[in-house]
Amino acid sequence: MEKIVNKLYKLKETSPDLMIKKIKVNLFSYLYVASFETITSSDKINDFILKYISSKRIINTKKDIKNFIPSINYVDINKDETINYLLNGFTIIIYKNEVIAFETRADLDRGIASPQSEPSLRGPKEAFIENYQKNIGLIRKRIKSEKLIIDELNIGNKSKTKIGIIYLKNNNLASKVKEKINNINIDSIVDINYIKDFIDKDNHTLFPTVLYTEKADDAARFLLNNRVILISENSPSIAVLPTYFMDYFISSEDFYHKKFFSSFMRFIRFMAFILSITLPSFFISIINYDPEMIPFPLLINFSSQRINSPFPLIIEAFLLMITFELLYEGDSKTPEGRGTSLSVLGALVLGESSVKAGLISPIMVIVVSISSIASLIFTYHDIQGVIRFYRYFLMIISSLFGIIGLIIGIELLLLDISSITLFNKPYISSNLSLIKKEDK
Amino acid sequence: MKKLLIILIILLLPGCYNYKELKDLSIVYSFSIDKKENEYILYVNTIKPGEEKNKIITNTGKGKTIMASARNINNSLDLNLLNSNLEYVLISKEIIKNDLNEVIDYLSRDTRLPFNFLIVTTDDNIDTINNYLTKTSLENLLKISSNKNGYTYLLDFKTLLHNYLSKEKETVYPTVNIEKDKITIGNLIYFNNKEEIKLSKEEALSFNIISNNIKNNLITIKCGNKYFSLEALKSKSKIKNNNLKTYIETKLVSYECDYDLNNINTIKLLENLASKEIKDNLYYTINNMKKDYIATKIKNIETNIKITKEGTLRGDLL
Repeated sequence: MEKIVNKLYKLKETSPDLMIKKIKVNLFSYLYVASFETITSSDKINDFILKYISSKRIINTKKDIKNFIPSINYVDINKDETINYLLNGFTIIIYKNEVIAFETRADLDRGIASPQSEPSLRGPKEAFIENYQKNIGLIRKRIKSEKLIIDELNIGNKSKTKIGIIYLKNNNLASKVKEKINNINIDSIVDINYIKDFIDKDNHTLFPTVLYTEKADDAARFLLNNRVILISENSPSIAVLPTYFMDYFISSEDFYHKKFFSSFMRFIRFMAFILSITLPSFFISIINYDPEMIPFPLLINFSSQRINSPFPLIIEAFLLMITFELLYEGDSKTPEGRGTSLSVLGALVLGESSVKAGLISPIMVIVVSISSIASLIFTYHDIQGVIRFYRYFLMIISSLFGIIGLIIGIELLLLDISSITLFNKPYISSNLSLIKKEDK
Repeated sequence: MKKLLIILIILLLPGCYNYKELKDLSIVYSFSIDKKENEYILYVNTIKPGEEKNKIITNTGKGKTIMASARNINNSLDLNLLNSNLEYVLISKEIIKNDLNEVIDYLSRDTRLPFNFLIVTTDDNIDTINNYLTKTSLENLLKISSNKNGYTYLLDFKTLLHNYLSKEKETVYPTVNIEKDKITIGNLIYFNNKEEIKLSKEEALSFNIISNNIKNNLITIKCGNKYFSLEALKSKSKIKNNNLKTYIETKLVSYECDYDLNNINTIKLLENLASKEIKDNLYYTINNMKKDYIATKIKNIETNIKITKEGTLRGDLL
């Protein structure tokens, strides 16, 4: 007993939030109560532990302590485990040579809120939060089946983060996923996004293969499609794998509308994808290499706009694109109250003044804005990275080689996207349901 | 991988060669070609974008050959010419009579020129017409007039080339003239052994009927002392075994005759009147042409004018 108590007192020197109480239970013996104030609920400790210990007289045995302290979870633990339990929010009672741990964890999270990054007009508005148990609860609430299987692993040499692998029974992907996760060698996992690179090591592509969502209804939908879901402690989003190209064009909201409108919206999203990647490069290659293709009145119009601009078209495009990237990044990092001043500055001051100053032609502003707006309509943000990369790539190649360059660039894109295979299925597969007939 | 790289490099090689900056280009709107004192004069009308809207700038080049005159234009140009949007070419009558060969050769040789620009000629001096170009859009004038009136038609370069090469067909040229300080549409003309022959309005209409150029044209027919007007909706002419068959679907748009329109037979009567008059006109035109156009071998003419009930004036009475 002395040993453990000494160890705790030593720990207190570096962790001031460690609370150690020495309570005299009878003439000759003491009882120690220890807990971390910051991660335990002091109400629970007062109501369930201290209140009883101070009022009752302990009669020497462990059994008595347990009897005095009603209706709270407890575990008998080894002396070596003491600190580990303390760090997990337990309150430790040391009496003679026995150690008992009572669960007195505090709720250190926000309540379930609506999704911030994937707002939805229709449908459930419950989003995952940083609490592992609540997140699983949100899924279980939607799939009330004993076939829902949860495997837990601890990853991270230092952080020992709990990772949950959730899938429906008979999912043959689960074992592969588990194997991949078991092989992860990393010091700590702060968020589920940390394990992205470890899962998809084989495909050297920019296209996203793991989807992150914070919507609980999305997670349930993917689970029912026989995907595997990864949940991590302290992470407000979950990872869905494998996800294919078409998954990024389908939003859970599509299922709450009539078929016709959902299909129309998917078509619009697909158009936006193509438009946002190719529009600036197409414009550059047409203006710089094949102005013959432009109808006469439009050509005069373009020509009169370009007459005073000092830069080549590609420089103009890059100036605008980079300005937009800065605005985009600035906007995402600005607190809500100051966002308006940023948009006024961006739209009015930069947009209009740069045209008036003759730095940039108005038509280029239109082209860049259309392409940028089109890239913003996707619910899942991971695909925006690909769009940006290919947009810049195509812009450079088409400014150097015109329409031929653009076509070759698009071919490279197709080559990239069609060479990905995920769990033995091509990435551009349109059949998204992974349920096999016999599993139904 | 090496092969792929080589293929890529080969494919990308033609790239930069064609690079143009839009602001370094002058957009060609039309050509005018004339010949004076044994020298070709090529006028290139370009649109200058920017300050003044649609300001047309004329650059002139002179030379012994048409190519030489084209090169000489560069003496007064600070921008490269972009020929791809050429709308029409105005050719003087002198050139059509004597030097059409050279002009067609020049226009068809340059691959950067489109193939569908219009050809037009004039009774006036080409210089004078050029002065009026900023005021009036000549190609729109031709398009609207040919669509609505039927006294002129659109002659594109493809047709001219086709007629020129086939040797059987004589080309009929639309003309424009200056009238009361404005560019207006003139009569159709053709040349018979360097002799200029003008088509009257009736002849022009007949010519358009034969060559299937009727669009929304108005046909005015006499009924007794008064007149009625038909607007063409559909027209189809066919020459087969020296027989010309014409079918025109029309609607009645103006009516001043004495016949009672409530009577069903009146429409038939009007149709017959129109058919007869157009037939007479066609015969007259064909006989009038000295070296005949496509109608040389035509012996019989069959015309069929139909007045549709839909859209007819006072249709509720019918």
